[in-house]
Amino acid sequence: MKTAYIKWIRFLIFIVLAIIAVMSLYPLFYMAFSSMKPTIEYIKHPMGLPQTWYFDNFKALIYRFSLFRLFGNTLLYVGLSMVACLTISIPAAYAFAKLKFSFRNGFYIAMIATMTIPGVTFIIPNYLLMSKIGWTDHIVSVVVIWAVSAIPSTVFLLTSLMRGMPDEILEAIKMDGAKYYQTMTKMILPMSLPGVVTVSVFNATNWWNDLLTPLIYLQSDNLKTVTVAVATVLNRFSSDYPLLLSGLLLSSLPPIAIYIVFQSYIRKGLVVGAVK
Amino acid sequence: MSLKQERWVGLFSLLPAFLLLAIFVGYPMFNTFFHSFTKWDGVTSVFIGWDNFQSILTNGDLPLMLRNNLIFLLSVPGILLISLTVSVLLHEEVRGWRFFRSVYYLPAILSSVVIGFLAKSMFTNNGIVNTFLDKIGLGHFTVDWLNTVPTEFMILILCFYWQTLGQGTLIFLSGLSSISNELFDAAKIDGTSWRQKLFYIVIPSLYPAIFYFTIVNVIYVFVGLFGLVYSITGGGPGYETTPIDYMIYIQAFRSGNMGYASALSVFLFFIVMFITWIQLKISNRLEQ
Amino acid sequence: MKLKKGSFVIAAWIMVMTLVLNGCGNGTNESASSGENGEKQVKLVFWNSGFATIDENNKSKKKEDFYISQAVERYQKLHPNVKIDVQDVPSGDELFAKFQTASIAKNGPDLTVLWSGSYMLRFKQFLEPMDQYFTKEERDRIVGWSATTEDFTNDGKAYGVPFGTDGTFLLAYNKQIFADAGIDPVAQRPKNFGEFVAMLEKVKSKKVTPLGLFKDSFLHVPNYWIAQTVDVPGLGTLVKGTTNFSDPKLVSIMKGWHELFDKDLVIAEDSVRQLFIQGQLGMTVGANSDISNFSKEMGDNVGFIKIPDFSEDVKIHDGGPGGVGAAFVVSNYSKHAKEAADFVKFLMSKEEQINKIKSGEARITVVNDVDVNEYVSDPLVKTMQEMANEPSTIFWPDNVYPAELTSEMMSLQSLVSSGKMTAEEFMKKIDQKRDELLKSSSK
Repeated sequence: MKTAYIKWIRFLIFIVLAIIAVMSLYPLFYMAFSSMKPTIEYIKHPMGLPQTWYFDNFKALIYRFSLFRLFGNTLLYVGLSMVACLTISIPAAYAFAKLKFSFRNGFYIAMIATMTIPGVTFIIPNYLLMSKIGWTDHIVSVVVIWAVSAIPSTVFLLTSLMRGMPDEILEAIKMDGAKYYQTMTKMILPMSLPGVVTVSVFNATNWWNDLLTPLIYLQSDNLKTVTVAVATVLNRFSSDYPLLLSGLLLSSLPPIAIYIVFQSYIRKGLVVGAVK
Repeated sequence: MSLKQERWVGLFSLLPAFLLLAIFVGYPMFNTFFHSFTKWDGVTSVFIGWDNFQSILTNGDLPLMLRNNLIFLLSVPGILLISLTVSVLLHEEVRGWRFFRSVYYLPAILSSVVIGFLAKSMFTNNGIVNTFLDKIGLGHFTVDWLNTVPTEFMILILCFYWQTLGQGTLIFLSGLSSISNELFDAAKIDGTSWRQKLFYIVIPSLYPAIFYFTIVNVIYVFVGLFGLVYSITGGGPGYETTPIDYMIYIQAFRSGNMGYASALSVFLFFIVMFITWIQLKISNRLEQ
Repeated sequence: MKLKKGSFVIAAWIMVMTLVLNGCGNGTNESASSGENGEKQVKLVFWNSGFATIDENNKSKKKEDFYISQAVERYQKLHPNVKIDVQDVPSGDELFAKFQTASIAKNGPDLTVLWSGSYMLRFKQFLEPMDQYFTKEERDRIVGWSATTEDFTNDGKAYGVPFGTDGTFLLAYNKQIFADAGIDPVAQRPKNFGEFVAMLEKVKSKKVTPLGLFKDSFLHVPNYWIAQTVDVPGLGTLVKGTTNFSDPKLVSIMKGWHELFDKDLVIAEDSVRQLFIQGQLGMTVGANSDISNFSKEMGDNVGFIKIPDFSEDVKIHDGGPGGVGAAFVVSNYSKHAKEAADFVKFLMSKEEQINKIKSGEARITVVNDVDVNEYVSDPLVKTMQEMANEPSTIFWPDNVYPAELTSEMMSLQSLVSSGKMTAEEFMKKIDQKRDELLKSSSK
């Protein structure tokens, strides 16, 4: 009887999870269906299934944009930002979590405090700064802004995860005479991999969807990101929503792929037992 | 590593992060503080003392904006609870849980434009929500969702949840999987009930993750929600759904009152900093 | 040994620095673009938010086949020393934010297209006055300068050049539904608001929602009624504060706006196009592109009328909002303002305007020496051009108000339609806001 009860419970859990899954998949299907509708059909039946296989919206995107370049640019910026952000954040997080030094808490609070300011406030001062250094209309501006703005939350997440690492193992490896570098590569990195991957997924998706930063800092067509390019679809004289949705769908495929690849690491990295 | 070395290594590890933050966050912050005392159109600024702050406090928009921020703030525990529950349910590893786990993060990947679009077309007068209500015989519950304030908040919060659930489950699942299986097995042998397991094993070991999630999302509802507000309600009707960060955007980029916008940012900064500080205090106490 | 421990940090630091330096090196190369072959090379940056680069009807049209690419091509052939870099940018809020930020750093484009009226005049301090570049004759052949001048008059100081016209904003109606209700809105055109309401009520008695509006229709319908009541100079005095919005005549317009909602004659949401095409709405509002979409889909079943007059004693009868919605602007920090203005003149020339119409990307034009009828056969387009040329077409009223006043109106109007705020209160609030704005700008 007990197993039957458990089975019943598990079935219920399955149902609940499945409903949430449907809700999560819905936007993707909505975009996919809408992208296959001509404008009029979309106006008439925004929610229905597409009546024909209509791929002109994707054709338009291909003809209109140099997609390869746009995706390449965005990937490059996101990749560079990720490398920059992690190389700066991991040592800082480790220091906050496991090293003892004066003013540690003060620095920690100061870092978290920088998260509490709305990003819109920074646009104009930072743009003026960038234009004085001469970095506007150059990838470095976007990479620096992205990386720097993600540092506090990255450090925050990694610190709270690293705090959970067992001190005994760290002490043991220190006793063995391991240097900072070795501790870092042999212990800290492998153990915090799930956290690193998780936070990178958060950052990467945020950056990928960020319209304002690349829009403001970059101008040349050959530097544009996908998100900015897609935003040019709508203008005062056209309201081709299916085309916009096709663009949005296309631009969200890479982050989805990145996520799917990375999430398997979240699982693998979790093997804390391996360290023992 | 001796203590003395540790101190230097520690400070040295922070150096690059703080150097960059000083330039690209510290400088604009200083700039904003300075300009909050000026009338500034981006080119010329005139020092006007406390006028901006005075007008924030007296022009009548503030209570409304604070109310709106408070509503969003109060929605954070909801998503925390939902994310936790869903993570624990996922951790039961029922059929298809891997698939579910992957799928839940999708809405977070999509831009708020899509979510906004979808929410708007679902909740129009003849959208699927009202049609559905009609069909199941609850026709008298149909509402003009996008034109009344409480339902607008409901939709905004729904979209916020929609986009945040994936983040929550991701964080909590990785927290959960670091609880060793032995601990679970031991609990099983002890005959602890599911609920006891939840409250004595799962939640305590998730404390760091819970705090991270809460703090980040509390900050987010104050400084990051404006994308959703922009694409769903545009802050209206009136300023009924306008939170402070959206007002900053309006003032800076629609009205060009950048001095006022700066003052509002400073104001918001102190509010959020205060709330975050309280949370950190609580978290420190609980961790001890 | 210490060094070794910190080496990871140093490695990280070096990586960042290389990245940064690498960036620096590349950055400086790009700006150097003058001085070639003795002749001065001019590079104009054009932020394009106005010319189509997407064709709804022909999705496989390549970027270089669009009118603007070809026009640039032609211009560069004529002026080999000028290179025009067309950069597509989003329009609306995004462009304003980008233009504002870049202009503060004097880093914006030489040329762009902004929404006309107060939307562009907000950036006056960054805009090059255009009067000096246009002779009287050159100016006279373009209509709609009032949308670009400081005081909204045709011969004021212009900070931009009319880009194109949106035509006249109309009401589209479903002929079938109106016939069923026994009304012919063309023959029995309502002469005032009361008749308009009576007409909508007749449609409602047939269990059809009579009128569908967009969420921003407030800017087009009641604002137009305000404009026709006071005329354009009157709008100017309202903005300057010499007359007031709380004038009883104008208050009654807001009362009417409330009445439409109160009597359930109207729905306001973004799906009204869908409902109208599906035949679930008696009437809806539309600009050029909507109207062609409607007629494409509904054929003969769709008819058009101008927005009915609010009362018999308005100053402008049988008009509509519309006209020049966007303007070319040249930045005053541009090093090549003269060349940019020349390029605008080229685009406004008779030949180019004809080319533009022939390309199918513009249906109607703002120059008076081109007859659209010669190039298009669609009777609908003809009607639209005729309406656009009528003097009763009032330049978008929301483009006359300061942007902040418009946004205040938009924020508060839905409180009036839902009955949470009375018409008097609303108008008083608008007056207050205007006075505040006047006070803060004079400070």
